[in-house]
Order: sequence, then C-alpha cells, then structure tokens
Amino acid sequence: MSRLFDSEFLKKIQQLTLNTRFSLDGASVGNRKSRSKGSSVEFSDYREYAPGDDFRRIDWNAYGRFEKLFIKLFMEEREAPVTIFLDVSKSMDWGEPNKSIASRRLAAALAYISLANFDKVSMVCVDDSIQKICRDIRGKNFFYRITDMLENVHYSGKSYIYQAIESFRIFSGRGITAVISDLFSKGDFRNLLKHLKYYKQEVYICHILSPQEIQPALNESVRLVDSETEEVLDITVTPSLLNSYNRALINFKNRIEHECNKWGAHYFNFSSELAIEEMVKEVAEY
Amino acid sequence: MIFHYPLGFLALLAVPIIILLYLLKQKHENYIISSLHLWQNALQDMEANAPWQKLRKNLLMFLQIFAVVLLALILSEPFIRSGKSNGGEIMLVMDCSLSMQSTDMKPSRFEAAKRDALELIESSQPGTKFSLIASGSTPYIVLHNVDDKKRVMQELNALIPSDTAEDPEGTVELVNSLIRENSEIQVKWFGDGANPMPGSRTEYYSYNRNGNNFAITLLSHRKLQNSREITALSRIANFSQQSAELDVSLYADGNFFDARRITVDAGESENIYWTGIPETVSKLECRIDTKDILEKDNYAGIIISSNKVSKVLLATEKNIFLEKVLSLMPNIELFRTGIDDINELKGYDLYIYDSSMPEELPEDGHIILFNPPGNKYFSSAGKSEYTNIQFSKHSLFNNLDSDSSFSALKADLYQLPVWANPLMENDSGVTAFEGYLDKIRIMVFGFDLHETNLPVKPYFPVIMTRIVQELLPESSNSISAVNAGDQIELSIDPEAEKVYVVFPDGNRKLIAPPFPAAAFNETTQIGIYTLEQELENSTLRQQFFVNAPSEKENATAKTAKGIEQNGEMEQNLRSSGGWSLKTVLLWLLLLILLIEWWVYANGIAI
Repeated sequence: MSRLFDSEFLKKIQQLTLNTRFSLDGASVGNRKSRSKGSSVEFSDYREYAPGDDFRRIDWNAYGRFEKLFIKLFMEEREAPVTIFLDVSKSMDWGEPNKSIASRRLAAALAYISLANFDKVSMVCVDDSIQKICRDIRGKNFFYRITDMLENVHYSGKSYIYQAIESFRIFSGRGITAVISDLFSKGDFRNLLKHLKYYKQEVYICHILSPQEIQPALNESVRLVDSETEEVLDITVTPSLLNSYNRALINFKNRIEHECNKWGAHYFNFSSELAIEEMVKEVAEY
Repeated sequence: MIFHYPLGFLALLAVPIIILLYLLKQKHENYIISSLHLWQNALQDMEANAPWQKLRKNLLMFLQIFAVVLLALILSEPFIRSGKSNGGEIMLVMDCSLSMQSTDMKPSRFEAAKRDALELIESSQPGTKFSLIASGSTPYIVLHNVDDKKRVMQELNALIPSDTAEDPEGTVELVNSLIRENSEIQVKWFGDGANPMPGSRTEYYSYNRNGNNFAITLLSHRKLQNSREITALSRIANFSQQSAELDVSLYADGNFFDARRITVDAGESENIYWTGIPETVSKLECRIDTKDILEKDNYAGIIISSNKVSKVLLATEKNIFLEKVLSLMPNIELFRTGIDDINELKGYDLYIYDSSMPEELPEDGHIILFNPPGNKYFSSAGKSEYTNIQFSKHSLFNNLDSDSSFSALKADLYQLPVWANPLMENDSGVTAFEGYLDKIRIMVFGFDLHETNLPVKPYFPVIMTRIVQELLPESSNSISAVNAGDQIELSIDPEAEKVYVVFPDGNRKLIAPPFPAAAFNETTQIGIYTLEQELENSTLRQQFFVNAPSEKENATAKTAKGIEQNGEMEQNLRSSGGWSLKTVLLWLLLLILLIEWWVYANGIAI
C-alpha cells in the first residue's frame, strides 16, 4: 500500500462506513422500479393519494376505514450508481497541504463508502478532458482498482473540467455524482449542474482550496505565475489588495453555493488541511 | 506670466531621469500560484472601486514628475503681471518719526508700514528699481535706483523709527529733486498723516487708527526773585478724539514730588502749575501715568540752571546801557573797569570791551567788543554814516521781527574773517560778526551804542541776555531741554581740552577737538544727555534733557484719514506690481509630496 492510501487511512474509512450513509435520497421514490431483481420491498409510510400516483398502490383497506385514498410508500433497496469526478488539472497540485492529496483521499473515501453500501462506483479523473476512468466498480474487493488509478494520476492539464464532465455520458440513469475540484475552471459552472441534473444525478460539489488560497501569505511586490497557463500578473501586496482578494474569494464561493442551491446540488467547501474524516462526515452525513 | 530665473527650468532634466529609474525598476520575483482567477477578480474589484486606478501603476511616477515640474517652476520664479503695472521705478518714503512708534496698529505703525512695503517689494516685477527715503527730522536717501530686491528689503528692514519729528517739507523737497531726475517714478509714501504731496503721483498709505495719545508739550520753570522756591509749568495735550482724565506726576531730582488728575478735552491742552519746589532741585521730570498709544511723549524733563555766578569784566569809559543791562542779569558778578589797564586783566568768564581792546586778547574767557579800535585780529572795510542796520539770520535773533532794524549815526564795516559769521549788516556790508578764534568765541559790534537807537529798542535787553548766555559756559544750562531732532549750539568752556556728549543709552561721543565744536544735531534719542568737558585739572559735567517733539509731531500728523483708507490700501499695493506665484507653488508642492507619501504609505499604487 502506498503512502497516499495507507492502512491507517483504510482503517479510518472503514470506521466511517459504519456511521455514514452516502446514498440516494428516498423522497421522490414511487414511480421507479428497482433494477435489482429478487430484492424485497420494505414498507416505509403512508401518504394521501395525489393525481398522477400509481393507483395500483392505493391501500384499499385504509380507504375502507377512513374513506380517504392513501397510497403505501416503500423503501427501495437498490444498487445506486455513484460517479466521482476528480479534478486532476495542474492547479489541484498546489498548496500546503497539497490539494491533490486531500482531494484524492476524499475521492477514495467516498468510493469506499459507496462500495460498502453495495453501490457501483465510477471514478473519473478530468482536467481539460477525461484523463482516466475506472468504471462500474462493485464490491469492496475491487476498491484497489480505484486506489491504483488515483495513485498514478498525473497532474498536468488545464482546468476545463466543466466541458470535460459535460462530455461524459452517464448511462446508469438516476444516481449520485460527486465533483471534487478547486473549481478554478474555465467555462460555466451552471452548465455543469444543468448537465448533471439532466441525467437525474444527486450532485455533491466538494470545493477544495488550500490554506494559501484562503489566506494568501504574500509580501511586497511579486509576479504571480499561473501554474496552468503560465500567465503572469505583477502585484504589490497591500492591505487593500488583500481585502479585495478576500472579497473576490467570498464572492466566488457564494456564487457557486448560490448556483448549487438553485439547482438542488449539495455544496461543501473544504480547506486542504482539514482531516479526511471531517470531510467525509460532512459529505456523507449530509 | 514671466519667469524671473528661466534657468530654473533646468530642473526639468530630472523628469527623464525619473522615467528611466521607473523603467529600470527591479522586476518582481516570480511566485507560482494555482490560478490567477481570484487575483484577477480582486484587481477588477479594485478598479471598479476607484476608476482613476487605471493610472495606478504609474501614479507615484506621475506624482514625482509633477513635483519636479513644480520645483522647476518655483526655481524659475514665475510672476504674473497685473495689467496696471509697468515696472519702472518706485520710490518708497518711510516716515521714521516718533509718531510711527505708536502702537494703535500692531506691532506698531512703523512695523505695519514696513511689512506692507516689504510685501510691495516682494510682489514687484523683476527689474523694478527702488529708491528708499527715510523721512525723519533730517530726511535722507537710503538707496537710489537699486534693482536688487533683496538689498532693498535688507535696507528697509534695517530702518528704525527715530524719536524725532518728521520734516515733511524737507522730504517733499528731496522727493521732488528725485522726481526731476525721472518723471516716471512712482512714489509710495508710508506714513501716519495726510499726503503732503496731494494731487501728484504720490500714493500715500496712512497707518493711523487715531488711537488715544496724550503728551507733555511743555515743561518749564521759573525762580521768583527773593524766593527760595521754584515754580514749574507743564502743558498736557490730548491729541485723541475724546476728552480724557489723566494722571500726571512730577519728580524732583528723581524723587516723587506731586501728582495731579486733570481732564483735558479732545484736541485741547491744559496747564499744570507745580509750586513749592525747593530751589535746590536741579532736575525736574514730568510724567503722564495714563496709558496711551505712544509712551515716549508722556515724559519730559528739564534741568534747572545752577546758581553758579559768572565773573564778567566790563571795560568801558561810561556805557550806562551796558552797565544797566548786565546788572539786571542773574548769576552774573559784574566787574567794571576803565580802559587804561585792560592789558593785564585776567580770570574772567566773559570780557566786554567798549571802544577799546587789549593788544593781546585774553585766552580764559569769551569776548564781546563794541566799537573796537584797529587791531591784528580782523580788519576794517570802511565806515557808514546815518545808516540803517539789520540783523542777519542767526539764532541770537530768533523770534524777533524779521524786518527789525535800528539806526546808527556811525558804524564800522568789516571784512568778514574766515572764522566768523555775520550778525548785523547794513546796505554796505557787515557791521557785526561772531566766531571762534581758536577756542575763544568773539562777538564784534562795529558801533558805539551811544550812537545808535538800539538801546531804546524793546528787544535790546533780550538780545543782550541771549548774547551773554551764549557766551558764558554755564549758559549751556539754558538748553535745559530741547526737542528731539533739534540742533544745539553747545557753549564750550575755552579751557576745555576734550568735549564729549554722553547719550541717554550710555554711548559717549567726542565732539571736540577739533575746536570749535560743530553744532550738535544728534539729539535723536529721548532722555538725559550729558556734556562732559575735560579741563586741565577737572571735568565739567552739564546735563540737558531731550524731550519728545510732541507738539510738532502731532501737528504734522496728523490730520489722518484713519483706517478707512487702509481697506483700499492693500488693493493699491498689490496692483502696483503683480503676483509672485512662488508661495502658491510651494504650497502645491508640499501638497503633492503629502499625497505621494499617502499613496506610498497606503500602497495604492500597484
């Protein structure tokens, strides 16, 4: 086992699996059949009949008693498709602690929890295109295939992850999609959400920034060089400039969060120095 | 706009240097970051907050270039001409008289006038030529046609007001003589009265707020015959515009003697008689204790003549007129003698020879000769008969009618010696003269009093008294007090070897030798002067007071128009030259430097 995913890390995520749930929200279930054959249907609750509901699910016994139409609700147990998009552009390989480590560990943890829940996991590494895919992994026994892939990620491309993700076709129908990125990407974030929502995905946006991005520690005059584009910008660091940077950061996060709320996606903002279990708890217990 | 020193623009050479320095400015250190995304947003935000920040990269540079340009402008001394002015020549007349020390303008009239005059010089066009006249008791030219502003300002700064009265007529004469040289000259007269040259091109700036001024215009004394007391008279004048109640004190020999409170109406004066002063008192001082705008004229002093008796020898056959007039004079011990043994008489303070004279004149006293015979000291120029004799211009005859004359049956005419001044003349020549022959002062009258009607003239005793007082050394006591600026004829003892005058401020000045001593005209300070005469074995000291010339000074002042005039004065002063932009530019430069410091400290420039 490599340093990135050592036994201690695995121990941690196994423990997390016992206490967390990274699964589909059951609120809108009712018009979909389970794809898993032979799995039982567990009664969950009643609710009043509404036009459009499947009238075959009306509980006639209840009607006999209360003279009102009720339909039975069931908890479907089914194999959910989980797709995790990991940003592997050059900008992710930066910061102290490095965002690439935190992001890969978070991706691995989420994948392990999903596998432990008997979900099928697809891990997709994206920069300006789909760089690597590990598709439809089922069962914890095949977790090593994901870790192997994550171990050998090469951070080099530019951030066009929105376009790259949009180019990825999700065949599995309704499912869970997590995007782990610093979101310093060209393109429109809204299109990404629209695209994922089109495929009926429960979207988790995990926004990872390094402490140096949250609180820049720069002095005097420097020439900033973009790690991806090598574009330069000469600045003289002043309190007013730092204030302005903070405002820009807050605006950036607020805009993303606003879009997420608008499109029903879950937004999480992490510093790369946050412990992996904290990140996982926050995402999986949402 | 013109530039006084265009060479100052050389400072603009610093501009390319600044630009070069900015070009060569050290490059920024590279710092790799994940993405410029947020930094670009941050900069856009700053730009949105401050639109002028488009220039931000070079703001400091622009400020520095602006500062250098301002510096160059300051060095080149820009000057805006006013439409009215034409440069040329300006004559400044400063009233340096006593009244200019009044404090109704702060710090004093003179200082206020000087300040405005300095401003006028400062704001004048480059190349303007200045003349400066100090107008005091004796007006004089301090500078003439000088175009060096600094020097003019220096000389003006060095002027101080004197304690004397102004002589406006003398100053006008002086100004006119300079105007004749250059008719284009503009005259700016700084005083506290009214324009003495109205209607001419003279602009008069009056510094007079008509503050309250009181003065002692007269202090005199009289000793009554057969009395052991002295009576003194003070005249207190109120030059202000309302009546005032004044406290006046009298000091005898420096000790307080008496005080009075009097009310003096505006523009009037009141007499105070002080009686019961002991005859032993030698010095009287009078003081107004009420505060006013001019302290110096609130004080006057007088020296009371000593009782020393002078020995006078009268050598005459029988001149009843001289005997009678001399016997009436106080403090004189008269010795009469015939004309036979006059050659051997010595030890008198004054020798009067009538129709005779010794072969060798005595050397221990002054001499009066009436109708002298031929001698080696001066020579005759003929005789006149039935002639009318007139007085020459001489201090002996001051205040007598100018057309006063008397008739003589016979009179000798003289060739006026080089050492002498004429005293009396007829149509043919000089009949009487006086002067110093070595240290001895001699007065010669070329007629026998019996052959003239002079003794029956009412002014005969006056003239004789003056002659005797003038010639007796103690008669200097008669100048018990003079006004500042007056000229004094000091009577020197014939035996004096060195003569000094000690001024009120303690300075001591040798006035003789050479003998005879010239008339003393340095009575510029108010206070007690001492005449010190060093004789062979002793030193003779006599004091006299120099008082403020209050009456004269206030009479010339001082129909002032007052402060109303001052409103337009500033306007006039400024319009006479133009404006120097130096001060404005200096302030602007300071402002720019402050902005630059603020920009730098707050790091606004990126």
